[in-house]
Formats: sequence, C-alpha cells, structure tokens
Amino acid sequence: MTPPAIPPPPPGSDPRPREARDANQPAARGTRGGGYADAPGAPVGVAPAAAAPAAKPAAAPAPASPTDASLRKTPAPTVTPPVPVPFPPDDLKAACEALIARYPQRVAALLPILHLAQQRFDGWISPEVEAGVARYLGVSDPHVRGVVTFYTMFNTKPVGRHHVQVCRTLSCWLRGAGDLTRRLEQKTGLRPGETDNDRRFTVSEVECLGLCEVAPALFVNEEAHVNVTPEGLDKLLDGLK
Amino acid sequence: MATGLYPQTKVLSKNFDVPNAHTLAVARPRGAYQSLEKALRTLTPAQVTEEVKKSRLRGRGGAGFPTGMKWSFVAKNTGKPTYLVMNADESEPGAFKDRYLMERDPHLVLEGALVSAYAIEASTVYIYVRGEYPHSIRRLEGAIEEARKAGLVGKDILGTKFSCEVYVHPGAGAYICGEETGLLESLEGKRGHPRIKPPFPAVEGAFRCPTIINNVETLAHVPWIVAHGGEAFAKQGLPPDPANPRSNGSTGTKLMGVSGQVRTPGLWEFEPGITLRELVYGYGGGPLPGRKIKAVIPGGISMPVLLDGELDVKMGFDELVKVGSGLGTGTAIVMDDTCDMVEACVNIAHFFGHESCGQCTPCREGCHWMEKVFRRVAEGDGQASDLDLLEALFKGIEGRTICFLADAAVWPVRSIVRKFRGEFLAKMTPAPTPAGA
Repeated sequence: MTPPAIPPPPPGSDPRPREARDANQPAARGTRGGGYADAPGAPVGVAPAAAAPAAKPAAAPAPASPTDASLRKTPAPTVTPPVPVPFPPDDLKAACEALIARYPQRVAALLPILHLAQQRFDGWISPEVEAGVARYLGVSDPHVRGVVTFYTMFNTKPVGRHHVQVCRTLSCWLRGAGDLTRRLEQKTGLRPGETDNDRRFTVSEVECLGLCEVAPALFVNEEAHVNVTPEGLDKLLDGLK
Repeated sequence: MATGLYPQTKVLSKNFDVPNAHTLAVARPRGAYQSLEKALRTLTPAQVTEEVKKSRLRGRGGAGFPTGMKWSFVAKNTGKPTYLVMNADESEPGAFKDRYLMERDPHLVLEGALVSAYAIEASTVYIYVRGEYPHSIRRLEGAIEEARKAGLVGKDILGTKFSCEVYVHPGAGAYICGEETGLLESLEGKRGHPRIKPPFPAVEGAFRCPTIINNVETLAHVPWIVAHGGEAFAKQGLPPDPANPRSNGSTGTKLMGVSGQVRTPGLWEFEPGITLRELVYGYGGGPLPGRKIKAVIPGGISMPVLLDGELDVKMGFDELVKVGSGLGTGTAIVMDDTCDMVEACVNIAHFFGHESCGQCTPCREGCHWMEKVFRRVAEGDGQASDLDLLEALFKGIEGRTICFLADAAVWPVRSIVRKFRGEFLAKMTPAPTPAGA
C-alpha cells in the first residue's frame, strides 16, 4: 500500500523542486525549511534555509516592498522529501499490529500509533517518523502531517527530558496559573514553547488538563502535579535533572 | 448552613472512596456486572432501551439529549455493524467528573458500556479517552483485561450469545474531539473536524456505520436503571415541567462539581434539586477568606455566567435554561471579586480560539478577533465602540458554524460583557474629542 514514488523529472526539465520554480511563491513559505532548520537535531532531510546563497539581506539594502524581480532572485530553500524511518521498529511491531486489528480501517490506528512512535523516538515526531508511519498505514505523508499538527500532544520539535506543561485555562488561571508560568519562565529562562540547549526542559502553556478541582495543575511529561504553589514549583524543578 | 446541607445520593459515586474499587476483586462483590447479567439473561435489547426511555435519562455530556430516544434512532437492518462510542474526551474546562468515574470505578463504566452495547446491539465499543488522562486510560485498560479474563468482555459474555469487544482509543489533545462527529473523525485517524449533519451518527457514524455516542456518566447510569427499573430512576431528581410538553426533567442523580475561587473545590453526587447557591456555598465552602463571589458559570466554561444574586436556581436542565444559562456538565466555575472580568474574557476567548478546528470562518477568525478586542480593552487601549464591535462579533459567530463550539465560545463572554459592562467601560479610553474642540 505504499503510495507511488514521484517519477524523476524528464531530462532537460528544471531540476529544482516545484516551490523553487514558482516565482510567485515567497521563499520558505509552505515549506518545512523554516520550521525545522533552527531546531536542535534538525532532521537530515531538510536543507537549512541559511544554506541558500542569496539569503543575505545585508549584501544589498532590502527594498521596502519586494518587486517581482527581487522575488525571482531569491532562491527558495531546497526541500527534499524526508527519508522515512523504517516503521514499525521491531520492538513496536506486535503492539502496532494489535492496535490495527482493533479497527475496521488501518488508518484508524493512527493516533494510538503516533503516541507509541512519539514515546519511542525521543519524545517528538519528526518528518521522517511521519513518513514512516504514513507508509505503514497506507496514507499520504500530508495526512499524517495534518494529524500530527492538529493535536497538541504531538510534538513537532524535539523536546527536553522534562516537558513542563502548565494549564492556563480558567479554573487554573483563577487559582494562580499565571504566577506559575512567570516563575517557570524566571527559573528556566524559557518562554512557552522553548527548549533549553542541553534539552533539560521544555516549557509549555496548555489548555485544560481536567484537574480543575486541584488547580493550579501542571504536567511534567505524563505526570500530574496538583495544587502547585510557586515555591512548590521551585522545589519540583530543582529535583528534575 | 444552619439547616444542614442538601443530602448527597451516592449511586455513581458509591465506590469513589472504597480502596481498590478499580479492581474486579473489590468491585464485583460490591455489585459490579449484576445488571449485565440481568440484562443478558432476562431482558431483550428492546426491553433495556424501553427502561432507559422510561427513566428519562438525559445525556450528561452537556447537551442533555434524552438517551433512550437517541438509542431508538439507530438504523436497523443496514447489513452493517453498529458501534457504541463512549465519549470520555472530557475536554470541557471545569469538568472532571468522568475522570473520577474512570479512575475510581472503571468497572461501573465498563458495565454501563456493555449493557448499552447490548441494548443497541453493538458488538464493538470504543472508549475515546482524552490523551491528557493517561491514568484513566491505564485504569480502563486494566479493567477491560480483568473483565476479559472473567468472561465479561469478548466472545459469548457470561455464556450467552452476546459478544462484545471494548477498546480504549486515546485522543491527543483537542477540545473539539468532545463534539461527537469531531470525535468520530478522530477515531478514524483524521483531524477532528466535526461533520455536517445530517446524516446523524445513529445512521452513519464511525466507519460509515450506525453509531451511538454517549458520555461516560450517561452510560454509567444504565446499570442502575437496569437493576431498579426506569420508573424508579424517573422518580429521583426533578420531574418534567407539566406546563412544558417538551420538558424531560432532570431525573436520576448527577455528579456536580465546583472549581475556581472557593474554599473546598470538589465533586459530589446529588439528585438534581440542589440550588447552585447550596452547591457553591455549602459544598464548595463559599468564597476564599475576605472575598466575595462575583460570578459563577454553572457547568463547564461554555455556559453564560450567573451573578451572586442569581444563584438560588435549582441545578436542573430546564431550571438553568429558564434563567438564561445551562446545566452543561454540572461542574461550576466560581469567580470572586479579585477576578478581573475583562481578563477572564481574554482567557476564555483565547481558549476557544486555540481550540477552534478551523473549518468554519466565523469561528476560526471570530474567536481570535474577540480575544484581540478583549485584550486591548484589558490593556487600556479599548474604545467605547468596542462594546458594539463585540456585539456585532457575537452575532457573526453564533449559530453560523457546523458545530456548537462557536456558540459555546460566544455564550460565556457575551454574558460577561452584558453583566459587567461597567468593568469594561472603566477600562476604556474616553472617545477622542473632535479636533479643535
């Protein structure tokens, strides 16, 4: 059920990817280059946008509004499709087959399988893992990409060993979730969505965790901490190495 | 309170404080699976449905639709399998009742699912649990394994001809998957975009087959109804309003909770009839020391707020609608006089903007617009015309989308804007005077 491979371009045709050929397409728009290139452990399949030779606005003063000509001179970053990881790895094979057997359609197992994949591959779902899962379930890469980006619990960037997720929704907010987030930012130097360089922490603000009666609440990875005070948060963070 | 508190009635919550009630060894001697046995051995599926109809049980997920009526919509003789989907995506902010059921009495939840599956003649149950409840997922999966070993799940349950498989399907963080057709899309391995209805799920639901979707608490009531009869259930709580032929009352018991700015947030079970004031001041312990209660959302985040003076309303489906709000999930959120209502609107609008699935423009764009306007008022950059702008936005969003998320986004903030107009005006820059004046 693998989708048909993209045929190689006929000889003599423009070898650049489609995005690069379209003069009206702004550079790095609708490509994965911008989203991943600066992330630590950026996937190998994506050439960093900075490698493009003309991405140097310092060489000439940037025009106030780019004309068609200046757009044409800016080559888009080269994007090659991600190389799918072999999926499922041997240790997940039995679990994945059992999940698929639960549903009348193979693709229905996508969410539980993505949960497994995220656990197995370092806490996030890279384009390579997406492509691997897509091949395995017989759906397109964009289908899996669409699902991964729709659900907040799937990480599209590498995360730290301790993913601190503070609930910001009403019941927690009324009981001081804002103070927790501020303290967390001070302690870690990270703003929501960021990961530190040694990948100790990722800090996120999330919507309702369903722990409203014991607010304010936060998750560290999958572990719930409830009735958290700023002092309690300090202690908790110090204990996470 | 001097006269004593409104009494609790522990039906669903009878095992909440019993140690290890999540194991079959403790749950079964306490009555678990007796209703399943009764239903399978002595009742036909139609008879179970009939009892549920008689009970006037209404959906506990927020909408309050009569459960027996929903079941009777299942398309019969289609040649396709029928599915039962338990909605355990409790993503409504302020709601945590289903988590108590799944963590503390998973066998009750499972029994409810099995009896209901028998009633609608489904042979597969999917329990869609939100991804943020890993503990609930583990407890349910543990319960299913135990039940399977005891011959209560799987082929030929209790030696009868009824076979039923139960699977837990984890969500992954999306409020919209609590909407029943968004949930179905998610169950099918897609983005959780709600579907246009009709066709309704009872005709064409999961995998294009007839499907019934019910909340956890709803199905957890079914074993009691089978054991004691629908009429006994209908005698509890609030009867239908005789003046309103379409009223279904609020029968049975209901899990009710309080969170937010009160002394003792928590979860209790009552026959509907307790007033919101007794719930918030009696069980919730009233305001924190030195504060006053300003506003209460009676159920989840999606209902209009009530002021402290409006709390003497009974916690029932019809009663709360009459005062311009709704029972929703029955879990109240309390705001006291330290809460800035404009900031509260920013928080609520941000939530709905974040959780909009993006299919319908009025919701996808409108929720963020509301948030922007609220934010600028909160930051002191608002103008008096912003209140009209907000009203225009509410009108442009409500009722103009595929699902109810957009309505739920409008109701709480609109009620706050109308009831706390003064707080908004106090933050606004006076309209600029004409030049030269």
